[in-house]
Amino acid sequence: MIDRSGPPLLRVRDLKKYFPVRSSTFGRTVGQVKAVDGVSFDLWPGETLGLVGESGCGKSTTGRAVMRLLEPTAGEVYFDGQDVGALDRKALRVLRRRAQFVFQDPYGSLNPRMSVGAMLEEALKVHGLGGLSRRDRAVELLERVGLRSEHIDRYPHEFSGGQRQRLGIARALSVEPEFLILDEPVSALDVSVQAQVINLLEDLQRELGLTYLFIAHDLALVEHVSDRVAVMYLGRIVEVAEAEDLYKNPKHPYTRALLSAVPRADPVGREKRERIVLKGDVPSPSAPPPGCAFHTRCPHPLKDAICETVLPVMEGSERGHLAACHHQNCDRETRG
Amino acid sequence: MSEPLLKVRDLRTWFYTDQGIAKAVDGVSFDIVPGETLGIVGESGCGKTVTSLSILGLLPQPPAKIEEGSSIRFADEELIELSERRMRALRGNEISMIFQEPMSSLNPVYSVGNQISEALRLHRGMNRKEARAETVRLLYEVGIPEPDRRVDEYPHQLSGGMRQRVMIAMALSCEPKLLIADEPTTALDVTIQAQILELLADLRARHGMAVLLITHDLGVVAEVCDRVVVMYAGQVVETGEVHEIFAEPKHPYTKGLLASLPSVDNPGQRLTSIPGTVPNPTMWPAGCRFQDRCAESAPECGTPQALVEIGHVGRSARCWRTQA
Repeated sequence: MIDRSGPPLLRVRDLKKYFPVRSSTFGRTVGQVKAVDGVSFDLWPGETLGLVGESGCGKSTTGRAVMRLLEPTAGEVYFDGQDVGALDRKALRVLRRRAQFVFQDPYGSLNPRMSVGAMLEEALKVHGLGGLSRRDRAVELLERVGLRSEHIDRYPHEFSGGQRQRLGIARALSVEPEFLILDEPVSALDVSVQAQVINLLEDLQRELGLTYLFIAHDLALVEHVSDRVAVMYLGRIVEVAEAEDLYKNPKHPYTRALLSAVPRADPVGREKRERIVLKGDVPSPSAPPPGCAFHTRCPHPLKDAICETVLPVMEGSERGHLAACHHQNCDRETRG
Repeated sequence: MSEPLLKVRDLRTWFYTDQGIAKAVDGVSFDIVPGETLGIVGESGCGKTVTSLSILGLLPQPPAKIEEGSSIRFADEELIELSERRMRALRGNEISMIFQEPMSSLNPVYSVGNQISEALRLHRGMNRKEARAETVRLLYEVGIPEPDRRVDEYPHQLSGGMRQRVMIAMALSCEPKLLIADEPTTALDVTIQAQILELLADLRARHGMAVLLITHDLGVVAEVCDRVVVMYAGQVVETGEVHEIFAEPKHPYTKGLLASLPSVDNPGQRLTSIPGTVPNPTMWPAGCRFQDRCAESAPECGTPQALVEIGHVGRSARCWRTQA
């Protein structure tokens, strides 16, 4: 169990990131894409928070805006009590040593012209760590992530996808961070290799006491690795709960549809399985629907005029299970 | 069981490269009967896509070469020996294919209506007006809203799910007997994937076509397939009814694949992984190709393993342990 009595390591409040849409002729701003539109969450030391949603829901942008890889439009982020938005460049760099990223495409995020050793040593150098023993430290890191010391003089193209992702993790770990933002870390890998990397991440978390923000679209995987899960739709969190609560008792109709849409690796009873197939596509984040952004696709039987006009707030009670739906409580009588 | 529509026998598609001969597909056999959905499942590099491209004769030769002794029979014709002219008449007409990335399979400078009517005019001899009306009907059938307006739009104006629907409409335009779907939902979000899978099942029921579904996703296989072929390193390692494969996997590779899936039913448990990676196709290990990664490997694995029937026709595995 995660101890949530102390202060959170990361506190995000009403985070927003808008991208301007410019006209092609004069470059004037003609609109805004509200990629992240008021996201709030807390993350306690040693915890894994899963952030799930479909493409374009703003989950990756949230991950980047938290550490100011993308400058947020509005909102507050506190890391270990420090106001991240108020930091100058130098202080931000110090902070970023404590919070590292692992990205989806392990090839695109490794410099093809740098050997593994040079890459790992560079991270140490930038942050003024390691001194003369940098190479020893690089070897230690490689072994830590399940690679071998003789890999140190090789280049990224000589590695398989799974090994490259191990390299990405080794580089993130090189500066001894407390917090990792994992953005679709295994999506590009085959299932058998995916399991290897997930097990590695879990071992590292246990041994080094790391805190994870785990961003992914694969719901089964997110449930497996997360203590709590937040579901995003069109730039907002629509539901957050302990992983088990969310999967056993989803409250938001979007979460329910998302869970029912996941293909299950079990053909028994597939004909009878209750499946909610949503109509249509996700609306454009440059013109999100008013009120509850999900109302255009929502299959909830009690959907009404309020859904189309009033933005629902996150509410709920037991064990911090919150959902943003006007009708989440009048549901048990109407379902089925 | 009815007469097979497609009969693949000992298919060997090799690539002659500077690094050596890559035996991407190395002795693959399977049947598809009319109306059934057969899933070919395996990880990247196992040869599943090369198998499907070999059926359609879409591989550049050289570097690819379909080796002597391979046979692909569709209805009464041997596809390997077919002239390019006859093959072109077959492709799209009797066998259609949809791919993973609909954006790169659609021509960006023609409207979607234009691209679908081209097939109708070419294969079904319709005139411009008939073809347009039929295109609108097809777009409606695959669930595209406002088909009479969408017909004049270009691929970039459509979402990923819509583009895949357009590809399906195109593939269906000539009412094929066999649809080859290569990772049709891999690039799509789960809610859109559910829509497309439902559409495919619905169309299959309505038109009675057979579907060869190629995927790495065991969840998708469990949802839609009747029978399954599991491939590893260019070979079939296990075949069976979908229920048999998931309830009682026989080959250690199939067992490993199923065990490495995070399951909704046992969260928090450590995942079982298969150590190592798929070997290089120019250097398959002698004997069982899975032995280096196998949890149960033994001295017997050093000799080549044959795909042997277990119990009944259509159920087989390539592992000596299952034959003991």
